[in-house]
Formats: sequence, structure tokens, C-alpha cells
Amino acid sequence: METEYYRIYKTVFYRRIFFISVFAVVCFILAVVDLMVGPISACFCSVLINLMYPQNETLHVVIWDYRLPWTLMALLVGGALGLAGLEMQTILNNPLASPYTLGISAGAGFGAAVAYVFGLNVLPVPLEFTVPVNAFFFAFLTCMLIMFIGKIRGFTSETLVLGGIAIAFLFHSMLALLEYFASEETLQAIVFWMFGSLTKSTLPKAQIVFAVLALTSAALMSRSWKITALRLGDEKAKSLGINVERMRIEVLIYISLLTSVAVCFVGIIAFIGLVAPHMARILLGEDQRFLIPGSILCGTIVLSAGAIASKVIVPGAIFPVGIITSMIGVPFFLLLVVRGRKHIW
Amino acid sequence: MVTVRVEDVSFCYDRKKVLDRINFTAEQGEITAVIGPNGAGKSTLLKTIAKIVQPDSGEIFFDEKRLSRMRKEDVSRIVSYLPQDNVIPGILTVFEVVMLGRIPYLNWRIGEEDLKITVKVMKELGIDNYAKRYANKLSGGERQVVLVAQALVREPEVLLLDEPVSNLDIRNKLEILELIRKITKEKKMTTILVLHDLNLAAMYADNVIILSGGRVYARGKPYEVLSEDVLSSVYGIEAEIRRNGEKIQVIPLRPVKCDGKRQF
Repeated sequence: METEYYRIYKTVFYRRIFFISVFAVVCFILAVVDLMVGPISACFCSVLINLMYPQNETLHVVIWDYRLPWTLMALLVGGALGLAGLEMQTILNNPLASPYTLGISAGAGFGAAVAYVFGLNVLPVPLEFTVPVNAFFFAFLTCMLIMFIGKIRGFTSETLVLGGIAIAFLFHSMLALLEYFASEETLQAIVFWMFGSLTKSTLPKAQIVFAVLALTSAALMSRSWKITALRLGDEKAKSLGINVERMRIEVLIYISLLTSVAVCFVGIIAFIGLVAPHMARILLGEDQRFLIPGSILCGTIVLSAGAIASKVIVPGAIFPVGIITSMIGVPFFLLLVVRGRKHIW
Repeated sequence: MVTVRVEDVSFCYDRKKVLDRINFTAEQGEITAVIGPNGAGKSTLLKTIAKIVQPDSGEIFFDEKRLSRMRKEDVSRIVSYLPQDNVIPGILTVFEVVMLGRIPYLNWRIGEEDLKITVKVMKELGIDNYAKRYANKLSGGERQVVLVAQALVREPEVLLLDEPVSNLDIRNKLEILELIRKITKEKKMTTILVLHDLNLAAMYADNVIILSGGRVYARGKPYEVLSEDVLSSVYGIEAEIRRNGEKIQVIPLRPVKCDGKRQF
């Protein structure tokens, strides 16, 4: 009979691996389509050839200098936000938690606005990196403030959620104050940054996001059982020998890094951190060994699809991707909620 | 296997003394039932033994090892603790919930040994037929059995169960407690249960500790400890105790007249 249960377990295991493989294939297809579409359309073969050899000089430059960085950034930022949202929902035991809910995105927005309005930079970096570095700094600062509140009042999910919401309101109002005093051109730049856009992506920026995503996901995967146990509730997780407070702090640091590095380069993309983990959870269950790669891939799918849509809605123009992701993601998400499993939370 | 020795343990919460110089020893191969009215400190006592809360003073020994000097990870390999609350949120199958009990031993890929033990415990508790069902869709009683399985699957040396049968019907109560007794004797485990049902405590416990107001009011064999006078002063009830050798039966009659204030 033992072998029978081993067979059942293996069936579930391979079914989840199958779903993850499907996600990965969809990601790959979307990435290729993303490279193909744009003001200069190109077929799959010419994209592939021009990626390797400069057969058509114009297309080669377009693909290498613009499309490839945008596509890679869509994949990586989507993955980073999906993973950050998943862990945020898990450690706070709250289905509505996301980097946006806890004010991390608001902090990033305020940091970017400081750079635009005052030209101030927290670190001596090249001009190109002024806005991203400020956004990263303030996003990370927000996380540290949330942790500081946790340190005073205890790292319970209620304290962290309420602290995060309070900080979000604080940064939103400070951002509004900056916008009130900003000139018309600066205000336009801030608003455009807040929309979220992939158009300022470069390969070095994509490499930075990749490094952070790879390191944090490896660290989280190594703790996957313990993080899964957090979903049983604090008391039961503690009874399984898990230091719940320390685990929350560790995971919050990873979330801070992921969110800060994701939003600092592309601006605020609110929807992915909330929805990607739910999409993955509906199909993969709660086991973090599968849910971590699943959420990364779902985030990637949503942002890549958004990136494609942003290029094809109005031919010749590129819409800010942050506007598009919610538009295409919400109907799909609602379909999953209505037709998918009940009692998720 | 280990003997648990609690020496002078005190614990305060919000300036209220929840545990006040608690002393007792729980022997291996025996079931010790902790009983007492609500708010007497029973759950807190179990949490201090599971190293979930740190006592303000006193020490707990596992044989000669001081609990305060042991790492939480090491304690979790020896001790299984089942908390009172039996809610299981999230999309976890019964199999996964039980499997999570083996966290101290689990690697990324689940080993054959872990699967074997999980299946064995699930069969012993009769929950193997709903291994693939989602735990959050089970009834309260079914969830309780799943969580007992989670506590047993670690094959602990010290088993701490906080009201493990409170949501079960009478047949399931007896079956689960029979099983706990069988495993305790066979594996020479040290089992400490919090129970509210005095008759079940009298039936299944080798020793009883009565807590009242954070203090040990009485301890010993059930037939020595449970008496009309003790129940009257600890619970504020009139009860009849029927004795048949070492077996006793508690029949609660009525509350003793009091000032109307609840004692929590």
C-alpha cells in the first residue's frame, strides 16, 4: 500500500511540474512574440537570425538595443513582482497583500519624484541611474520602516499590514505635495514614471534584476518547507519548530530587494504582485516548492502579455505597460476566481 | 526517550502571573493529563515545554538537558506540540498537512522514509482515505484528527497535545485516545495532554496535574487526586465521584453558588 501512496504523491508531483512547464512554454512564446511585434514588425525567423547575425542592420539594432532589453525586463520584473507578491501574501497571511498594498511602490514613487523635482540623488551615480537609485533607496527605506514598526510592536501580520498601509498613505501624500509644487514638465515625467514603462530598459539594468531575482528565489526555495508551514498560522508554524518572527524578517528583506529593484527601473506596476500568486496558487496549491517558480512564471506571463498589448493597441505608439497589465489581467483573473477552486483563503 | 522535569517555572503575561512556580515530572511511557478551569495556565504550560514561550524563571529539563540551552530546531526534533486551534487555512491537502509535521527532516524532494511514516500514521488514524482532500474543506472533527496525525508523524519523544479531542464525537474521542495511549506505551513516549473532560482524563491518564490560577493545586494518580472537595474548590462545582478500585467516574451535579463572576 505504501507504494500506492508513493504513486499518488508522484502523480501530484508530476502534475505540478507539468503546469510549471506549461507556464514556461507560454513565457517563451510570449517573449518571442514580444520580440516580433513593434513599429517594425518581423517574423520569427528574422528575429532569430538578427539576434545572432546582423543580417538586416536596422532590425539588428532595433532588436538588440530596444526589443531584447524590454522583453527581458518584462520577464524579469514580472517574475520579481510575482515572487514578491507571493511571499508578501504568505508571511502576512493576507490575500490582499502585495508590494503596492504595503506602500513599497509608494516609497519608490516618492523617491523617483524627489529625483525629478529636486534633481537630488542619494548616491553619486551617473545621471541615467538617478531616478532608479532614488526609487530603490526609498522603496527599501519603506521596508525598513515597516520592519522598525514590527520590531517595536512584534512581527505579527496585523502590525506589518497596518504599519505598511500607514506608510503608504504618508508617501502618497508627500508625493502629492511634490507634484503640487512641480513644474508642468516635471509633473509629466513623474506621472509617466508612475504609469510604469519598460521603454527605459537596458541590458545592464536587466542583468541587475536577473541577479537579484536569481539570488532571492534560490534563498527562498531553500526555505520552501518552512515558508509553506507559515500558511498553517503562527501558532502551528511555531509548533513545528519554526522561528516565525525571524522567518518573517528574512523573507521581508528578500521582498524588499525584489520589489525595490523591480520598480526602480520600470516604475509602478501594481497588479502583478497581487494577481500572479493567486493564478499560480489556484493551479499549484500551497506547496512553495512549486508555488515559487509558478508565481515567478505567472508574473512573467502577465507582464509580457501586457508588454505585447502595449505595442499593438495603437500601431506605432507604445502605451505605458502599467496601464495595460491590469486591463488584460483582471478579466483573466476573475475567470480563474469564478471557475477555479473555492476556499483559497 | 526522555523524562520531562519542570522545575519552578513561572511566566507572566501582561503583568498577570499565568504560571506560578510550577513543579512536576512527566515520565516516559506515561500519559500525564493537565486539567483545570479556563485560564488556569494549561496551554501556556504546554507552550513553555515546547519552547514556544520562554518562562520568566525556572527551568525545564529533558532528562538532564536544560531546555533553555537547546536550539528550537533541536527541540522540534524531540517534541511535537499540537495547539488548541484547529483551523487549517490555505490550499493544502490532508497529505501535505500531515507531511508538514516532518519539517525538521524534510528535504526539497520528499524521501521514501518520510512518505512511509506519513502513510503509516494516516492509516493508524483512519484518514488515509481522504489524503487528497483539501484540509480546509474538512469538518472540525476531521481537521482535529489530521492535526493529531501531524503531531504523531514526527515520531516525537515528547508529545504535547492541547485538547486533542475537543471537537470529536465520543467514538472518535475514545479511538484517538486509545491510539495515543498505545503509541505512548509502545514507543515509551512522554505524553502530556490538556483535557477538559475529567472522565477521559481519569480513564486514559497515568497521572493528573490540576492547575488552578497558574499553580499546581494537586498532582498524582487520577483516583488519588480527583475528589469532590478538589472539584468544588478548583471548578466551583458539586460533583459525585463513583469509585471502583482504581477506576473512577466523575458525575458533575451543579455549580456551587458563587457571586456570578466568571473565573477565566
